[in-house]
Amino acid sequence: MLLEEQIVISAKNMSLSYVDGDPIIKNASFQVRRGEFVFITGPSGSGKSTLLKSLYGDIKLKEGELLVTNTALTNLKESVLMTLRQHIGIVFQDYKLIKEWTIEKNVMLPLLIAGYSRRVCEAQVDKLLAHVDLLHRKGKFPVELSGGEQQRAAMARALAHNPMMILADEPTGNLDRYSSNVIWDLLIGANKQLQTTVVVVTHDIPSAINVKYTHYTLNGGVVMNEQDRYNNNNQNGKRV
Amino acid sequence: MLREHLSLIVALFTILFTLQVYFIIDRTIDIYEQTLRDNYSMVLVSKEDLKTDLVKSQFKLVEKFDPVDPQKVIERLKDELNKEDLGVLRENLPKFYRVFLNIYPTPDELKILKIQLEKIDGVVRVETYSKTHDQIFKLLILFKEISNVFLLAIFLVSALLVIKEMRIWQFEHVERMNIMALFGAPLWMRSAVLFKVAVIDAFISSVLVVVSFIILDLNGWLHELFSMISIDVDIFEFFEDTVNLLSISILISLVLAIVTILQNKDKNNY
Repeated sequence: MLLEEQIVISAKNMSLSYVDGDPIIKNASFQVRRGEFVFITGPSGSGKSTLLKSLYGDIKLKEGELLVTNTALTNLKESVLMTLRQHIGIVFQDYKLIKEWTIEKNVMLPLLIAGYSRRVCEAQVDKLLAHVDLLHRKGKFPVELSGGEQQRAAMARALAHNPMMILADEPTGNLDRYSSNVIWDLLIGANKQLQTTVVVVTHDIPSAINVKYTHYTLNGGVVMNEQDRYNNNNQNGKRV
Repeated sequence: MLREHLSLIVALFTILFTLQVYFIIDRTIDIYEQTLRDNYSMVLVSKEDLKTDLVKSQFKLVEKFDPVDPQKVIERLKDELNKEDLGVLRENLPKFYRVFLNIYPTPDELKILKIQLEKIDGVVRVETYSKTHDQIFKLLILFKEISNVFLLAIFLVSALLVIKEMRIWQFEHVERMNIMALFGAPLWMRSAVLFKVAVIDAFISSVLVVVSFIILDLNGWLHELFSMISIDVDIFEFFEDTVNLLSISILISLVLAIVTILQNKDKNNY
């Protein structure tokens, strides 16, 4: 099987909800292949972030099936969930940097978890921080950095362990143009050069983005493939 | 970073300092009770000579059973009585014994002991000085009660401080542990940082309390205070108190760490 034929995410009739409330995501079925670049868009409150959270096991499924890198995300043991997450890089809208750690240690986190030696970690972190133009700020704490710098550091952290998949939640929301460009360049670079699967949740897809991508929209809890919608507009509108 | 350590160190210091004060009070009361016990004795009057070893073996509470030499009484009366009368007096004088106990008895224990001693053949009277004994005993009980109330207060204040600290820890540490979990850090790795902080803070707060009490001990001010009530108490017993304080502070910090870890574990249970 070719790498790009491998299914890394497979959702079948998946519903998601918080506690016992109404489902935020209803009966969604979709697949993401290895090396695919996926955008999930939708209005505020449509459940984009919830859908992304389900992919790294931060929210339980209400119904249906979800496989991420062949791991079923139902009744998961904590150790299995942690192993799965070690193969994923996540970028959050609110950065989620550890405030009492320096930027260097924050970026180093996935490498420390993977058990690399301090020397290897430091070398890799220096390389990544140079990529995001933060090498000179590596000794600083997150609070000493601007929003754009913090998100660039978070991006470096997501890439540090060369993950199989990157999940990004509004990675460029409220960022300056320079930081946005750095983030997109890195996401596209990882996708093109390393075959990393990228799933980005965002309000808007940048118009000048230079990558082949799949686009899902979320509306009223329904996940819809834009290509299918386009094809089906002339027929009957098939939901996936 | 410093603030993260400071909040637990201050809380632990308060708990340990108060505990050490309790240890001193407890020790003072023990010494006071021991002094009372050493100074207290009963007088037993008997028509016949009593075998001291036999009495000691029959009564477990009796530490010492010493005959009182009548010569001192006779010496005092030497000028008022002639030789013949003194001889008669010496012949008819009963035997006096001083009874020392190995505990400071309660009024009830004293009553029972008195009744049992009076049953010995030849014993005509047992003087326990019960009125004075009761007053002193009540004072001792009061001290002990105050000390117990103080211990309860320490327990409550400690519990409140630990609960408050738990909330701070949940806020400060759970966030970091959750972020680590998002990147797949196993529980031991997420917890390691917490245990490190707990042990370091427990150690620092214990050292601060030990140093404070060594200074107080060397200063002499407290010793002067105790010497006013004729009590010589150890303000700080280096080895015993250090081990006690360190153990208690490590125990409290570890409980805090474990509670925080369990809460984080619940959150990451899928």
